[in-house]
Amino acid sequence: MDPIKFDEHIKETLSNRKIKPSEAAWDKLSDCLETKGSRIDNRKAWLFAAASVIAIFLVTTQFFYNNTEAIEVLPLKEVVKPAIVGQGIKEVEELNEGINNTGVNKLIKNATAIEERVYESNTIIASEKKINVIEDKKRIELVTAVAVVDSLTFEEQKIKDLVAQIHTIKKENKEVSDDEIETLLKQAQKEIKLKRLQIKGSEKVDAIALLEDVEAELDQSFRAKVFEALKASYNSVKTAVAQRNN
Amino acid sequence: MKPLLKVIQLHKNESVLIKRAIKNNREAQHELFSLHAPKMLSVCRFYISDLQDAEEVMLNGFFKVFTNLKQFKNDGSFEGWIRRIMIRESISFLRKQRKVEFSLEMVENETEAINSIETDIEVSEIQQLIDELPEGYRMVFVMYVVEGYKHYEIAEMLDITVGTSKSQLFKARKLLQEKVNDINKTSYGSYKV
Repeated sequence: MDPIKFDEHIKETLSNRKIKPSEAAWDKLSDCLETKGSRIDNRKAWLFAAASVIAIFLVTTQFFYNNTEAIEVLPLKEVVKPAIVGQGIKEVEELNEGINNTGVNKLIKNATAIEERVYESNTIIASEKKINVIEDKKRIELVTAVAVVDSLTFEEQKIKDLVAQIHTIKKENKEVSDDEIETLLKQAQKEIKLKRLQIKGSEKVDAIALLEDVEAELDQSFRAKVFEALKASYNSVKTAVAQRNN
Repeated sequence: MKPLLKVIQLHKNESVLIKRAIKNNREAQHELFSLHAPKMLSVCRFYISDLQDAEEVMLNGFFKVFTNLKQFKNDGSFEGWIRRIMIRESISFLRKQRKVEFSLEMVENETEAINSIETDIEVSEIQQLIDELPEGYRMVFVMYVVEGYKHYEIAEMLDITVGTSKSQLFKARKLLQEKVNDINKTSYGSYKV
């Protein structure tokens, strides 16, 4: 054999060489590929589980966050009622200080007793509203807003009418009796109650229930507003009661 | 004309097999394995003396081939792509075994070529000679002589300097020359020039 380049000889010889793998070689590789496939599947399953947990966590957090917001609104609602009741009490106290006449005192005593009952009922109403707001905040806000606006408007109108009637009676008879005032108040209460029942949408008025309700309790806010109106014409009332006593 | 058609047909078949193998078709993977495994085992055997270890390394290489088949771009040959993976896998195996040591001793005349060795030794004898080389020598020699890598490429792959690569090649050649001379002496009873 002629001398040849060693590198080339090795390259040529080794490049053409083939070594047959063992019989089990492919089976080993196939098993590894199967395992790898299942590993990938397991990894996907883990990723899916992790994503689900994160999603549930986010939804839960969002839910509680929203509920917290709803609860935070409640104190604003509750603040309104004590303010109205407190205002009524303050006004009644002012009237107590200013008026020492028998008729008015009697009226005020009745008003105080009623005020206590109304305060209790207002507390219950406030609690009910608290629960209702949690259940359906927007709906309650809408309904109460409409109801409050309507009742206040009607009440204000009644107060004006009542004060006007007292003035009219005073001009005609020169004096206003307790019975007359009480009658006027009850009449106004009936009308307001009737109006509220109609607003509630049932449009069916139970006369007996209405009378019982009216006799059982008087609306404090209405009473307070009447006092406020009367306070404006306090001197007239005082003179009328003084003349009656004389 | 016929051989050209055969080559085109083979390439087309391989492309189809690769596409199917990417979709995790086990049959296609098996066909590709059967087609390339004998050559790739030979490649691994250049670097790794033990045949079982070489086969283990080859299987790891094929595992990487099939799990990364999407990354293969048809701009080069599929065999060349697999071959590179096998070489890297073999180097990685030897590094893990901590068998690779590169002598830092420089050689004065490392450009001297040892080309004119008269020999007709067989493949098995060549492989045996290579196996007897130290790991560092063997790796550089095979990468340079058989695979055709340049010194800077070898240096980059083995994380050594170009000078070290050159000196490893020189020493490997010198050692092989001595061994071949020994064989020739044994075969013919005298040294032939």
